[in-house]
Amino acid sequence: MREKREIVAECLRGSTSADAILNALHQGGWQIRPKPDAVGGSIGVAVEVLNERKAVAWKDPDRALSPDTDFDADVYWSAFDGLGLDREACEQQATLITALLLSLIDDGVSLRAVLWTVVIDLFATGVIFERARA
Amino acid sequence: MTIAEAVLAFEKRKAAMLGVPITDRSGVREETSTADAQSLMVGLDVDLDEFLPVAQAQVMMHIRLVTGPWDAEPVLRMLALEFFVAGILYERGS
Repeated sequence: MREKREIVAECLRGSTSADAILNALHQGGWQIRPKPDAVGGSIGVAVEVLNERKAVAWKDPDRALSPDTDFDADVYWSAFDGLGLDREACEQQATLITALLLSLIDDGVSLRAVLWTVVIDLFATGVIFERARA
Repeated sequence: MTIAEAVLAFEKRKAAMLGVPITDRSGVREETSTADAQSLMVGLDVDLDEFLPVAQAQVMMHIRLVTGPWDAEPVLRMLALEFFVAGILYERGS
């Protein structure tokens, strides 16, 4: 079986589509979930799928959050393809929320508390948003 | 409902729990406890037994990133985007 890294590198020479890369990995025998819409009702699985897609977007399926991994914002966003998100609205909210969180750190709130806040808040916001759309 | 409206709705809920106006951060607690997390999620019909261990693992992973070679800004920005999307994925699968 070919290495994941090799397959991803080959795909990136012709395409930056996350779906194309995920399909290539799947055809190469790697068990990567190609469509987030097919996720079962599990928080752990939802996070796992997102991490898989993020890893592809970061051009490194093995070390998605390695600090020396090259980052491409457009490729990163392609990991969210098919979710029906409004990219502009999401980026705007992420920018505002990030600024608020950084200001909390500046005010002396612990990093741990800030991270807990964003994990809880944004997960719940995603649930609320999706229910309102249904 | 727009994303901004969803954010505002949850901020109002959080502010009510903390007993402070949403524009006043003076009531923000230094530490967020498991009990706080549970009370914020009440009524959302989310499996807290599953959510909390995942959230804990994510928090610890991101603390390691920020205390390592990363700046806080990109880590927080990624987290803001990804957990919002994780909430959508979870809801679609429920």
